[in-house]
Amino acid sequence: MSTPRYLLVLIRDDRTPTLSAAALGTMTGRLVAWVAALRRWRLLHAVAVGEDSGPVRACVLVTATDLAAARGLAASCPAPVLVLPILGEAG
Amino acid sequence: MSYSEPEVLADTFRAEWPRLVAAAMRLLGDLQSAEDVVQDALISALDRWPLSGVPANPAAWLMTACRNRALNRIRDERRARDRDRALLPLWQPEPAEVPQIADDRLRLVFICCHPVLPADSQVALTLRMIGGLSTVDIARAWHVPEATMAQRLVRAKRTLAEARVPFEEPAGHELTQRLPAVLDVIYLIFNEGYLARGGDGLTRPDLAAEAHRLARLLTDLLPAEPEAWALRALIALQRSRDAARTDASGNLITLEHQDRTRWDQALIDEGLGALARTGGDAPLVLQARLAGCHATAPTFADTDWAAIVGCYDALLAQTPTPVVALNRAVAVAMADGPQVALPLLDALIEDRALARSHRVFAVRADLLRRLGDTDRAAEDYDRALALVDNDVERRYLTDARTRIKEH
Repeated sequence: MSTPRYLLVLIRDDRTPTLSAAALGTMTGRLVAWVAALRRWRLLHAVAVGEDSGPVRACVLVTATDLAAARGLAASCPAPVLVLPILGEAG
Repeated sequence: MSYSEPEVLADTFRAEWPRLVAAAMRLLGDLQSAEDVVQDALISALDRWPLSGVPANPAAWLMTACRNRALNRIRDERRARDRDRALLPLWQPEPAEVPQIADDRLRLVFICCHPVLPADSQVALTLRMIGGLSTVDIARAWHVPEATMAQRLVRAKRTLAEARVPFEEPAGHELTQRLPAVLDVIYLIFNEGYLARGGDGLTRPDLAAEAHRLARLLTDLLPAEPEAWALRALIALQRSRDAARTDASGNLITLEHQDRTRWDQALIDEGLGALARTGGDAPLVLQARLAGCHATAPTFADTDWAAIVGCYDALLAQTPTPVVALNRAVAVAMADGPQVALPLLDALIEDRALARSHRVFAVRADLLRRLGDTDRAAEDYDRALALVDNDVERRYLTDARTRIKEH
């Protein structure tokens, strides 16, 4: 049985456009560190970047042992995240 | 990936902000549009860099993103055909090292401090456009509601647009005329941070650091201007004493009682280095020399008070303000004794401009204490306490008043 996968949907924060240049840089750095950690732990399978002005910033496909573990990964993200279980994969 | 990547990227975004705003301003012609374009580009980096990796040259990436957004905006405004042709040759997408970009930042500094704007708007616009601070940050630092600060910034940008202020560096005598306004704005930002007028001043050290950053930028942009170096020297030397100015409980420690080993030697070196590049006897230069005298004195007692009185004499000749006269009186007390300075203080207390200032009474109280006149000293501490509005200074004066009663 294969390890379950989860889609982490990074939601755009309404306050982001009002942040200072330094605050935006800090948040970018934290997200870079978060994604790099997922990659280093071999949990990251795929990424997708959303539209510039849409409600979704990006999606990250990860491996996790169960929903609680996926939610743990989401909680470590510096941006708001929704966790969606992948129910089945074609082929 | 280094642990401090967030800080590195914060510094990158902050350092690039004025270059990007200035470059977008050159293309779009108004500050509001330029700011929108830059904010969009930074947010785009926030979306993409974590997933695609931080580009090898982040500054160039941001500059290109700004250019593309600016050109899109021009096209959206249906002026693409004419303006693209006219403006594309002007655009230099390469990053910071290109000297022309430095000129752009200088133009932006002079626009933010343009005389068509009132002083409070000059300060707010400089912090927003050069410092990249958010409206919320600026409002918090100045203790005004966010809506008030947002309105002030919008009004300032509209005023500049209506006055058709050109995006150009002032030339020759115009530069000499307008440089003092730029220096004043940066010094005002610093003083607001350093002296912490009112409240507990929690956000104020950031403001002093921001003014220091702006002063460094100004010496980068105008390396031949002695007053720009004087401002940098003054700020670096005053900031070098930050750690020694208060104790662990936040109580004020006066210069006399500060632990000089806690002064920041790197900042003193920066200040003295900048001081060496000043010249003449402009007020800022004299103030920087005063700060230099304190920074190089091994102890309070060994300070060259005669040199300090000499600097104040020269300063008073140019700017005969009650505050300078008060500081000179303090130096005279140290050089020649409190009995010589006391008549100077008595005269200053008659000055209407100082009648509402706690400092003059606090200084006279200290002189009277040293002369052993504790009753009159206590009276002056009471007057100072009735006027002071800073929590740290109030605690200091209360302690001094209590010690007098104990003796």
